[in-house]
Amino acid sequence: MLSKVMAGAEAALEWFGGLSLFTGRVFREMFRPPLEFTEILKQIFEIGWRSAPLIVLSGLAVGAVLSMHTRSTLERFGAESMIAAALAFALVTETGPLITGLLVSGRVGAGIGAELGGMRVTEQIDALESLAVNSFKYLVVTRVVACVVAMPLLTVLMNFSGLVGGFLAETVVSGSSFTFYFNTALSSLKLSDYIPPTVKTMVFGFLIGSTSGYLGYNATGGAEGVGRASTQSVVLSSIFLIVCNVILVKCIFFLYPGGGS
Amino acid sequence: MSGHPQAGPMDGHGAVGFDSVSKSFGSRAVLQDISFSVAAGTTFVLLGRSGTGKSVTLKLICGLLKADSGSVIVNGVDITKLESNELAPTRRRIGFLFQSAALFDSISVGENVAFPLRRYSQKTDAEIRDQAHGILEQVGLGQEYDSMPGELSGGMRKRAGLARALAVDPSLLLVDEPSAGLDPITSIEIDELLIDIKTNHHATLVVVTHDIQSARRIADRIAFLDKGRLLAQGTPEEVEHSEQQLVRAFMKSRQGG
Repeated sequence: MLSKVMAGAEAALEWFGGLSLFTGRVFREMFRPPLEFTEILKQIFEIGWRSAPLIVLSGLAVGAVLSMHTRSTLERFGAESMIAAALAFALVTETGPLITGLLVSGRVGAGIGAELGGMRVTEQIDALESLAVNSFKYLVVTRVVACVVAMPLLTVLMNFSGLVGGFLAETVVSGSSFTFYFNTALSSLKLSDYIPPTVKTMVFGFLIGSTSGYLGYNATGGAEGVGRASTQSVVLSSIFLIVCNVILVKCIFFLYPGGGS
Repeated sequence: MSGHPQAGPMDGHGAVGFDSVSKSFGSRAVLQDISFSVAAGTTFVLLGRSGTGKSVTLKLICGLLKADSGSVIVNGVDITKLESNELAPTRRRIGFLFQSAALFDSISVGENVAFPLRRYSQKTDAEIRDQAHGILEQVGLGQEYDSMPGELSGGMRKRAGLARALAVDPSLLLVDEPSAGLDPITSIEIDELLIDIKTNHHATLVVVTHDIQSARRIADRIAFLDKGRLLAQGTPEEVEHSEQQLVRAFMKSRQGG
């Protein structure tokens, strides 16, 4: 029994050690030429632009639901005028960044894990290397950079969609005007409420890209291995993201007391 | 020659030389103290049963795997002494046709061939497309520029893989199981393409196969690997008359088929 636990712990340590070395290599290779700008732009399009419809739809729904909950709560205190401000604060400081992270982790994490895993088991990564291409840089670093760049942009899109969804839900109930709603929502926010939570999603992007990149790039075992890499990419990057979020929120509170998330 | 399987690594002007190369994966020894040399402009065929280290040998030549001991000399450079980021100049003159062709499945067949051209040449997009199209015509796939790899048959994929390998104008072409999974006629067509490449491109070919008939068609020299050891090497005739009973049996077993 003890030996099994020890073996499991050893395997886990080995896995985390591998991931740490992998992320260290991502940092080293990121600034070493060639910078692969074309591939980075292509990946930003794939990861960012192609995720946009999912983010917009989810944002509209989340905003509408949050608005309904906020109204039902604030009505008890006669504070309906605060609905837009409360919704904006909730969205911008926590809900928007976290939901964007989890959605991207599901869509992009699975995609990177499956794509790189498929390339590994069908020798496409070896083919790249045989053509004198640094496959790690070309496939992994470009995707990590694209995730880091795309996450804040998608978060801004999620926040905006959430506010629009909230407005739609609110205007049906109270007939609130667009200008009044957005003025109330945005005037209540300080830069320190908005910037740190949005910037922290760059860390989410790094976690999603490097975790799914690690699992896909090192996939073994044919189609089953590819499936495993894809599933684990979603599960592990989501877990890392949620845990890391706690630490980042604590850091933001430390750096911006009374503001931020 | 067949009685001296461990010939010197760089006899004559070798394009590839193995000097006492060993390679293991964990506790499993895949290659043990292998030495051979491949003369420039010739076709060297590695024969042997499945799992005897043939594909590993090709990957060692290209630097995709690193030898545990010994020297792997490619075009005069001992690549075992190079770091992975120093291998690029050597690799740019090597073409590699993988067993599964390993075409990049997210881009078209033509873009697969154009891929190395886009990275390493200063030509315009139109010139690159023309050149890629010309290479595809050379392997009989002139009409397939815009097809996706998934739409091709096994033989066509091999041809497309060969076209991509040719795009780098290789002085050394590594070919892994060219006839695997192909019908006999397509297999002969691929062999003819390889002979044509050796003749017209003056390239050195190292081919891994377990197809005796294919080996006879294309080989200048054959080496026979078994359980990680080189049992025989020489001309096809010399290997057929090897002192090793296993080699003779292998050559004979496929003679009619």
